[in-house]
Amino acid sequence: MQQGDQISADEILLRRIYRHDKRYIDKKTGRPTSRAFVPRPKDNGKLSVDIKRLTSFYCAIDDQTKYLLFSILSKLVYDLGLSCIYKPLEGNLAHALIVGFDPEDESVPGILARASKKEAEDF
Amino acid sequence: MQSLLRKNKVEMPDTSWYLQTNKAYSMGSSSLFSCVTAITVRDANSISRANREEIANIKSFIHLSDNWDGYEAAPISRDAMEQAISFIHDINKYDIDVYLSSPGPNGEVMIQLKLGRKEIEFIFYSNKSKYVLFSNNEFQSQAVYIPGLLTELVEWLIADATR
Repeated sequence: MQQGDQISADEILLRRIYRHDKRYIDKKTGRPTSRAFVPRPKDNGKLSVDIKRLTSFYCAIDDQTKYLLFSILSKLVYDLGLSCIYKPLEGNLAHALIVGFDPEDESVPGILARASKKEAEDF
Repeated sequence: MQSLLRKNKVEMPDTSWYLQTNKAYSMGSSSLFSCVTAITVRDANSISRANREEIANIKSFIHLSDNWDGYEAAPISRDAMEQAISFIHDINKYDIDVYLSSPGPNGEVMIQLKLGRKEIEFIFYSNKSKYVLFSNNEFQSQAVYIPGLLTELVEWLIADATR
């Protein structure tokens, strides 16, 4: 796979969720809120993820004291009209970007959050 | 006095208020009105403990400075916080507790209502507000939020929420 290639629709994508003070976490269920799947200003409408089969739990989570790890299916990303592009970084060859977010569409972060699954340490 | 639970469409003016033993019941005439229209309203001066805690939570967002999530999240907009707190005062009057509130990476505040299988997310930015409806975890619809829509949205939330 080359940088800029589209990720296939059968990948599992991992998203680090900031856990400190549970700002992005539903304290009753431990699940992420929609805000954990919103691109931030510096990302210019793109959402960082890692491709599960190219990484390990410990590489993907980076710091277990700061983050939780949740997965979504790349098929859902495409079903929502978004795309996912391989974008390896120095020190993280599993990195990819979900692209195509419309800042006026508030449904997508909520859909991704509700579809996400918490990843255990033993994958 | 009107029945508190109506299943038949009734011609009423928008947001008419009926008072009974210190409680008020709003009978709006909206497209959702034909489903269920029984909305209990709390005394405006009585804020539930849960809603007070969410207001305190939102006030704490003032301490979230640049990069508060380690990935360059923006500080939370003071306007967004004020709108969210005002919203909680509004929803409290309907005898509904906020399910959760969450800061967002673009300076927004998200407030979530949840009743049975139904959820509404309200997202407050400094310059706009949106709402998104979910039922059984499935997306239903979204639109710009203005306070005048609250009665209709509460009606949607409580109608058949546990079925």
